[in-house]
Amino acid sequence: MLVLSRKKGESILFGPDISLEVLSIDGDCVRIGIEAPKEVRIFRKELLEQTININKQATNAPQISFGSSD
Amino acid sequence: MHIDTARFGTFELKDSKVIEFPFGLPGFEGLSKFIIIQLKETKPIYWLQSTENKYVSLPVVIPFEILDDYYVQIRDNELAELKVESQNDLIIMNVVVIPEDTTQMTANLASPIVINAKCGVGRQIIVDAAELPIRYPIYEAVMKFLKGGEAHAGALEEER
Repeated sequence: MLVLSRKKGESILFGPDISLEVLSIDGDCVRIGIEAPKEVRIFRKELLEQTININKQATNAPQISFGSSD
Repeated sequence: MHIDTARFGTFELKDSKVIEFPFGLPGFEGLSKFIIIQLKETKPIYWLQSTENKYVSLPVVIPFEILDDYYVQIRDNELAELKVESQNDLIIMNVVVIPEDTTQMTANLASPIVINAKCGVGRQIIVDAAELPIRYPIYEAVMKFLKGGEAHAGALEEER
């Protein structure tokens, strides 16, 4: 893992067209601004972890039946 | 092809009904082939069933059938990856978690499964947006759909 120290207002580039700027620091909370091309999906990592958990949980569904009118 | 499932038994299905997930499905590494099973008695809940692991079967809903205001933006590059030429070929589904108390069922609106029904290719994408909860209660919407009869039905022609 690459580890860098950055101060407020400083940025990091990922390749030619993705940049990440430290906007503010408040205790253990860092606000980050990201600029990236539209085709790059950016989301919090925990959303992927939750999606994995939900997908796995979904397979445990009980037998269900809402009945049928016909 | 012969399909073997833990939940629905075994049956024959045309190869052309298989949906390929080139990027897999998060949580199920190594599984890339699924089919959509529609059962009258669980409508409007469908089942995304792996053809490679008979135990992997996920209940899903088509949000446009049960929710009034679901909106998700699929990007051009994502549509291109799925070889989507017409919006009409798109099926969007949300994975449903159904606990023993079914009134507590929720749909993952943040991670829609996007399928090109024409080419049989799909992908689950993750959208980080405040208006798309990852556990959105849908029991009432499902009941409302059932009371509404067949008004919204017919999104998928395959019935078993």
